[in-house]
Amino acid sequence: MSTGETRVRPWVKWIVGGTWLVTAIVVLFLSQAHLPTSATITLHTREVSLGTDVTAMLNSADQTQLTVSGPAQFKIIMASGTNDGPAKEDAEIIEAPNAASSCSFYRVHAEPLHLVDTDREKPGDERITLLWPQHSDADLIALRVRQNIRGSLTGNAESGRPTSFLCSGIAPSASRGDIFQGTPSGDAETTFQTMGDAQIIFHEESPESLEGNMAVTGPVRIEHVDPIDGGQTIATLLDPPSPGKNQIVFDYFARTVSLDKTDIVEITPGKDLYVTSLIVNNGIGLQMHGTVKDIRVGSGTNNLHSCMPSVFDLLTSKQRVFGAIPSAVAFILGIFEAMGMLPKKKGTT
Amino acid sequence: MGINQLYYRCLFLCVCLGASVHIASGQKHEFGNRFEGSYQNQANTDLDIIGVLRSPILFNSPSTLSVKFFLPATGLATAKVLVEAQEITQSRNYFMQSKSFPVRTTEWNAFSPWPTTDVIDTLGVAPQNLAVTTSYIDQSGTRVYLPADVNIGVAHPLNTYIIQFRTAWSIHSLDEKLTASDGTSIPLKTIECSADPSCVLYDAGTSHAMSLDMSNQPDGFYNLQLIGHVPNKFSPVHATVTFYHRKA
Repeated sequence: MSTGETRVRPWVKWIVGGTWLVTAIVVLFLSQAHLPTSATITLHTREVSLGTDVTAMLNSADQTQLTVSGPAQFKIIMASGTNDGPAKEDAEIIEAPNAASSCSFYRVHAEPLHLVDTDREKPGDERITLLWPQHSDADLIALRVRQNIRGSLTGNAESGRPTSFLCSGIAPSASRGDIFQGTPSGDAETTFQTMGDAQIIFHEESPESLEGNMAVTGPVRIEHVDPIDGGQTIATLLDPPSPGKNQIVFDYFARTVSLDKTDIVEITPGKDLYVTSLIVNNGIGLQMHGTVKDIRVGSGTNNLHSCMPSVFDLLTSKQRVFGAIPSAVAFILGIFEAMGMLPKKKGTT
Repeated sequence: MGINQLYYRCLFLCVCLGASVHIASGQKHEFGNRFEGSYQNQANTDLDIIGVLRSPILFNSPSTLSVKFFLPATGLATAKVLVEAQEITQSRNYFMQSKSFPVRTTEWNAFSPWPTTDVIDTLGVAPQNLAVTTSYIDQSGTRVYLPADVNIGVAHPLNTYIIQFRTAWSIHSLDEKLTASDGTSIPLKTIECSADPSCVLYDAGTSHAMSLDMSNQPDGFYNLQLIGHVPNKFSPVHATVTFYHRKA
């Protein structure tokens, strides 16, 4: 008997409802999940720390001054003239016993620094911190590393201004006290190796000279942990020199994230993230390029949120349209069923 | 080993591991005679005195440290001596501050125990990166430093002191002036960067040490003035270290 009402059959209800539910879940998942993607990150900061597995870092460069602070050993070839023959070279071994010891070298050419593979458990364990200290010259950058570092320097004297060095807080010897200064022999190589916590400070002759590629294998943190306030993290981003911007550009998306000076940034690298440029100019100008797994930005450690494009953003317009087709078909199916336009099995009313 | 024993051992291990992670994550912890952890409670000034020692700090972990110092007659009813330790180059923000502990005037005293296993070893602070001061505030409000010998039971105090300081500014030269309590001025050296007129002797944010040979000086109070000349800055930065010298 026909009642004139159109009954929606249960299996149609299930198909329509199920399709919409699955689509909603998929869209929700795609909009929340993000895959590693390529990004170009440009930042101007006072401090950055990152994990790396490089064995050699920073390009060779001319330095107006290079200071090594911390426990270390130096080998300096000294020039000493004699009255009855040619000048002979004497090697001075200088022991810097603790973190308050330092040796400064003036007008030198520094070769890339080598991380000494002493007790490295796994690659990417090494964290290095680059700082631009306040109350300092515009062209100064400090590098802090826990692992031992080996470096070598050669003279880069200017006319009338020879290469020289000054060490203080060093272990006294029979011939010298805890302060020792002098002039290394002309082209002779001065070598050093740090032992544990060390800080190396570069006074760059030209701001571009630290350019180079450095693999990033551990998290990058653009922040400063303030010990005075119980480990509170504070932002370190600076205004970049014009026309630069602090920003993250996702290479395969029309998406640029601009960063504020009050932002804390944490970057989880993917398999091929590199520091492509490091320029010291009233701060540390840092450019990174490659795959990132996640980038979190916020005004505090409890306020960090991912600014990565979602998987949904990855889909092209065509893919989104194709993805919407099942929902549309289910919707039309539901309308047809409600209007009684779908054929029914024989014997059913 | 029974299941119960295994369970309690695992539980104990987890608690220990949790405590270690907690300490390493950067907190201030209270121990019997001191506060210690990864924190800092001092405001930084232009020139901070971070260590006044009478021998280098040397120990192998794990050890229980002892800080030996001589306390003169202070004129105070109760002398409250403060022992503080921090990193020379800050990388883990290590800090230790003693609680009030009994001392005797005109005698050698010791602050102990200070086990490295509590925090120092957990954070991985090397002895070469440790600075220690022992001081009290006198009647006039001046902080008086007591050169300390940090040891592991056997003291070896020397008469050449190590003064460790941190500068917030880049310094071209450092004048050192020592004055005895009777006003006698004892000449000391000036350290200067001689590479060029504006070169930097000590960079901003770095810590350094100077040694002070007191073996020929009589016991008593002294003032050490450190005056740092900053390139392109008219006024110098300075710090005064008032300390009591007692021959070992």
